[in-house]
Amino acid sequence: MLFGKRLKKRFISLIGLMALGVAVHFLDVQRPQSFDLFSDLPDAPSEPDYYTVNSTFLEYNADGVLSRSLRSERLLHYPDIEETALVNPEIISYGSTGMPQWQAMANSGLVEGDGSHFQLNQNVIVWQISAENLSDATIEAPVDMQLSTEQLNIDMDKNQVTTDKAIKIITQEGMTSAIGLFADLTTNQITLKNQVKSLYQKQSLPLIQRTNVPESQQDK
Amino acid sequence: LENDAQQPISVLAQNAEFNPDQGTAIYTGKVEIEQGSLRVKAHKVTVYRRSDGEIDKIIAEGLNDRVYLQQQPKPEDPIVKAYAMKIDYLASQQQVELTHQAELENGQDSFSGERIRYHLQSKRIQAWGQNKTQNEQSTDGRVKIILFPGEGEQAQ
Repeated sequence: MLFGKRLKKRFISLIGLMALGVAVHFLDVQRPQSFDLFSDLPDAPSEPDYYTVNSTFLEYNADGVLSRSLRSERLLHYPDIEETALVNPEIISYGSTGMPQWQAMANSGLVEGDGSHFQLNQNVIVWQISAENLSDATIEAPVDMQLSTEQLNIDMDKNQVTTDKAIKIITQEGMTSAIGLFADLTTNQITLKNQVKSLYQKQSLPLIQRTNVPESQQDK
Repeated sequence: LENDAQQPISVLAQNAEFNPDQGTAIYTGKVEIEQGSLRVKAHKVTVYRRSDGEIDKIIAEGLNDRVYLQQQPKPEDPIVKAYAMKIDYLASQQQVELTHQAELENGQDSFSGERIRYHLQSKRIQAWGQNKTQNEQSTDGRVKIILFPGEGEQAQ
């Protein structure tokens, strides 16, 4: 009997251990593995030192007014080559009044060392909203200009964007396509380099959710 | 045609520069414009827009060759052709102003001078010759008009 009881105890604890093992394995599988998160990113020549998931970086100017925000589904920082890889990035640049001046999003992006040079890749879309359109809006604001391309280089310090790829610009008054662009988003001057086609005909543009303006800026 | 002004305007060019804040778009290099039956070919075209976004005027400039413009006032009318070093198209007045080496052909009739104003709807034509200061090549400088009698008058 004695032997029977001891065997029974040992058997129960074995079952318990196995159940614990299964539970731990199940939890481990659920936890996002770092290599899973970035297995779709091209191999980088160096080791990352940190990564974020669904993060938002906010940058404020010397007066404490929001100047820039970077939202991304995934972000991986490579210290050796001073680059940051982004998945589904969304960049918003705010004017001096703290209102969004323009917004850009893409499938992927790269940020070079100093954090002010971005390269956006695949399905790149840039919207520009004039201050009056945004201040009148309660929920949504009509976009003034929408630019789309496959690759865009953004210099955040100079507020300039360039590309050698095909671009398409839509405004309320019409649509223009070309190959190659340089745009100064402060002076709004846009230079199109080749094969320019414009059609002057009323266009309907998307609306931008006003929720892109953080609450702290909205009640200003 | 009468509804040309309501048609979309299409522009082709080698390169362009937009200044939305000033309401201007400058197209350069083999520029071609189409709006209904209106066609323009020029080296450089500047599009000026009003604050409401509507096009106010378009200035076309030649470089080595003159600007070329053609339009058909009515389906039954002959195509009007115009040439000049500079052509201003004033959208609201539906008027075209040709400047320097200006020439306009309306069917068999032709007009040439330093400046010609042509009203697209009424087909009214005003022409000016060169004034003394402009008349450098000691040409006559006056307006030259060639009018062909209509068919009815030719038969007599």
